[in-house]
Amino acid sequence: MKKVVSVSLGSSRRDKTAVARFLDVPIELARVGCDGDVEKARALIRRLDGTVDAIGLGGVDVYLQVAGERYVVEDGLRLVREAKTTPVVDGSRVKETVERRAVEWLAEHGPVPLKGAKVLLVSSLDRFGMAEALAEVGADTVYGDMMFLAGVPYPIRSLAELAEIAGKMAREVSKLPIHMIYPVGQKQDAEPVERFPEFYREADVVAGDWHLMRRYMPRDMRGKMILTQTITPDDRAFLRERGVRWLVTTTPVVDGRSFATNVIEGAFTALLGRPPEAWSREDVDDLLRKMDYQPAVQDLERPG
Amino acid sequence: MHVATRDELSAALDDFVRRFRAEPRLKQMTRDWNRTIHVAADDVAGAEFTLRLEDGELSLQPGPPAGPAELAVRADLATLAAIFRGEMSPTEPYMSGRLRIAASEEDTMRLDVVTLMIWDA
Repeated sequence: MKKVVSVSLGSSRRDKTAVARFLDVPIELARVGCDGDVEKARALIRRLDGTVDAIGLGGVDVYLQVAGERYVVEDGLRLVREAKTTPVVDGSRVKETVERRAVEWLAEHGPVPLKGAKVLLVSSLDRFGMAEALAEVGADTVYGDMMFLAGVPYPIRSLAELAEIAGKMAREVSKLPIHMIYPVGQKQDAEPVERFPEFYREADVVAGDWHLMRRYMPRDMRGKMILTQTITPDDRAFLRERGVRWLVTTTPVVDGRSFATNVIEGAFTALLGRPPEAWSREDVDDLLRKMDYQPAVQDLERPG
Repeated sequence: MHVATRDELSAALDDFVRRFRAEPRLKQMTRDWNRTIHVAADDVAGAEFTLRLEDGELSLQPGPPAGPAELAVRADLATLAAIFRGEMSPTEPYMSGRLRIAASEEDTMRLDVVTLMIWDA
């Protein structure tokens, strides 16, 4: 059986192994958290190299794609270089396409009309495609990069300003150690500390990276829709406790778990038999079409 | 080799303050961030300055701060002058250890963002 292992800098409490069928091909998907320990992640990648079909990288990106420019995240690239034969993927190729598709699908079929909806996108540096798609469907979006990545009380309200500021931030953030900008290891399990709760309160939809939005989420999230990925059953319980109504995950739910895009990109790598650098955009579109892709929508007011 | 002087650092910091005041978004970005920043060169005696952020306004004084500073920024004078002139991003010298910032991680990040907003490069 084809096998994909995601090596994550996140908490090991979120580890999971499941078998998923992609176009009738069974693929074992495993996620192994290294609790923020970069050396442990490097050693694990070296050990997996040559033994699996693809290695995913979680909790750190390798590439940030902002307004047509690509920035290389140095911490991520160092991890990629540990593997000599097995492709190491960060999910950025699949994320770009899947998240655009998810927003377009939701605009037509979703439980909350996105046109005119107030959306808080907690960060766009790592998902500029989603930021662009939200603007295209007419959502009234606050981009939270300055607030939630840097603690600066400055909501960005237009795509043009986002492109300017996110471009500047991406150049610098890509050189910083990942722990300075993103919750890794035990920070992913910590109780949230409210930050800029008024922007969560105003939003009909809170979108973006799960760990970032969770880290600063207020207690009262009644009636809201969450658009994210990497959700475990515990995360669903956490959202229910806060009164969230709709949970939309951009990646398919496998065995109760929405895996991160790096895992899905690993599965696509295994299916296609070549790494993302050798894919065309049509390859991704074709796979998603054959899979009849659509985001997973869950009504959290329903039991189960 | 060009040897930077205390006056060059002083001029670079003056320019930094002027540019800060010319970017209206920075007032909003720092309105809740009242901080004293001690800027000191390791290699030139007396090359010390104090930046003070108060309610979104930035001011500059020569010499060390009168009281404790929340951020202390140290490097050789040429590096400091290049950073405050916008010729060098602070991130690379910070990561290499040439630029040392004694502050909380959050304050360090915010100072980096303020610098980014001032300079285009």
